[in-house]
Amino acid sequence: MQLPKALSAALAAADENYLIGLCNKGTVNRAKKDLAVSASPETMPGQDGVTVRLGDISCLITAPLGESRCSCPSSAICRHRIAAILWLKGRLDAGPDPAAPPPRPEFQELRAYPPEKLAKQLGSKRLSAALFRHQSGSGPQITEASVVTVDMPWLPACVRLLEPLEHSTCTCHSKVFCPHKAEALLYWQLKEGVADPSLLQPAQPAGAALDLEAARGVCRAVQEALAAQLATGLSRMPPGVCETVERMAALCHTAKLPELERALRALHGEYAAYFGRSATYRDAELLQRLSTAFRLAGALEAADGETAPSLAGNFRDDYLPLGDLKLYLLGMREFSGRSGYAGAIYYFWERDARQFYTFTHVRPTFYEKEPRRRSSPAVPWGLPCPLHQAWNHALDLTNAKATRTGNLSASEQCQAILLDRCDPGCVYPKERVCADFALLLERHSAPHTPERDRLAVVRPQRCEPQPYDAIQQRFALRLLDGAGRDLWLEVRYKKEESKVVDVLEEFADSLKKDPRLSPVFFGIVYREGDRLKLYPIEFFTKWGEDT
Amino acid sequence: MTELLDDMELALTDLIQSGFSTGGPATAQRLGALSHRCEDCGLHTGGALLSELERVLTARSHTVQKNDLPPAAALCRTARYIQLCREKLQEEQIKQRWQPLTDKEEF
Repeated sequence: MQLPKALSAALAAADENYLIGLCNKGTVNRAKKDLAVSASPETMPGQDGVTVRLGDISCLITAPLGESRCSCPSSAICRHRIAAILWLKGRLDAGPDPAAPPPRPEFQELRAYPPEKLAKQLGSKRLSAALFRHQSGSGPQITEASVVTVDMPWLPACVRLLEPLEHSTCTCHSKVFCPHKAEALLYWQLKEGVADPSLLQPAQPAGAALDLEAARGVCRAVQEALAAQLATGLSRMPPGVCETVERMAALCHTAKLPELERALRALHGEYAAYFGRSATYRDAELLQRLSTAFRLAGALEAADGETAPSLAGNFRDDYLPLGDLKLYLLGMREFSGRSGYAGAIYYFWERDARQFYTFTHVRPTFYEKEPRRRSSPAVPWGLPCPLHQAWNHALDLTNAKATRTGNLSASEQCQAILLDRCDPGCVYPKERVCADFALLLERHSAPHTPERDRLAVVRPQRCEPQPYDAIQQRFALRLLDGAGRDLWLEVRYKKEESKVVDVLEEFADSLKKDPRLSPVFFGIVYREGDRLKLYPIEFFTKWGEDT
Repeated sequence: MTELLDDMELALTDLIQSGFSTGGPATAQRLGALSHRCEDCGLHTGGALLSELERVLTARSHTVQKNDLPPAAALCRTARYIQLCREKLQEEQIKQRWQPLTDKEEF
């Protein structure tokens, strides 16, 4: 039988996967059964394609196959059309090897679809989540044959992308180019390197719209107020300056300038420490806080519409879906910053991805005149106990969400199963326990590195307790590695740190009594002066002894 | 170098303690001297920043309508410069500090 060339090519390229992509597996199976029991259909080649009569039903099969028509009322690709396609395919004048699979398509149309258009269709939140999934390697399962199948179990949706693109199908049964199809196509383009994630990122509108004129006015006022404070001098400044700075922070909040608001709250904390005659107050710290706030206000005032949103920052980071996580609670620390927030930060180790995650249970304190005695403990994810009681327990978290910096969401959709308590040495990989402090300096201590990247588990070869510095009010422990490099474990005395200092002093005493103790420390690495330092979150005298 | 950075920081913290109006010609002279020391040590940007701060403070003291923004901007820029210099020096200093310790250990 002579068929139009385009139709012959379309039939040759269409394997079973392609037909399933056009409709679904059930329809293809049903069409096969119908064809097996029906008599040989009549065919009438025409200009547009071939008309195939299957009993009372008449189908016009054309190229592309998705545009074939049928006399039945179905608007989607029906079993009659599939049966007709299969019948025609069987009678096709095959090439040298009819059993050979059709050549793999180039997917030119899928490649040509502009990624910017996909980004626009998905919207900033969905695009951001998709890019995060792609970068973190937790994207969909993509299989390529005559069609591209993209399985996205978190939606859940399975999209079959085929050419022409408008004939692609989705498990949501949408006939239009639905967001699932757009997301699936974006994942495929990212995998093939057609779409560049770095070019898509700036396309996202950053947060809520910024009123530039109002923001510039606030920034100018902040600069003038800070300059006036500098002109007056700290020694002549009234304590009321704290309230002035707090009011400026509130103005920045209203003008949607969260970064400047944070800088001013930090400055307020420093002023409060000065007027409160706190022992931890340092002139140099105040100078840096003033400098940061003033320069940020200046940069925001001079910024244009493109750069201003990134300088302004975000009030709240977006939580991105991560799927299921296998966590282990390694430690926690109480937190009370001068920026006006207090609470606790919990540190988790992810057993599969081998990285740290945090959960922050923090409340703002800047409007509390008298500090509360104790905040309610964190009980997230449907746990049967407060989170601090799950110390050194494994947790399986389903439908987890986290910010880009690895801070976990307490959303009700995330549910945790509390598992048994186990030794951290059984969970944390041996090769990640750092015994060489040169590696700590190189990998974990660079300034301005996010806290998550400065977390480290350290096993020193020996520890040298230091006398308590009564002038600086500082506890110190000198840790030495095998090559004699030292790392200084230091805690400055504050009301919130008093328990930490007590526990460390007890530990230092036990070290003096039993020098054979081989503790492991978990903490945050940082540099200060000519010393590499560690802020301790947890220490373990027994590590890996259950293995 | 650390000593010079400490002196620069001390000059700036003294300035925020006293305020722009109180320091008098001595503050400008101190900043000028520090600027020369920076030039001698090869910290040309630091020298230029301190000279600028000296210039705007001197100019401010000779005006009736005081404009506090230029000296504040110069002071904040210099403070940031000191912070960046310290960060750059820290890694080197830690390694230098470790050197005699590791040599002693090997010996």
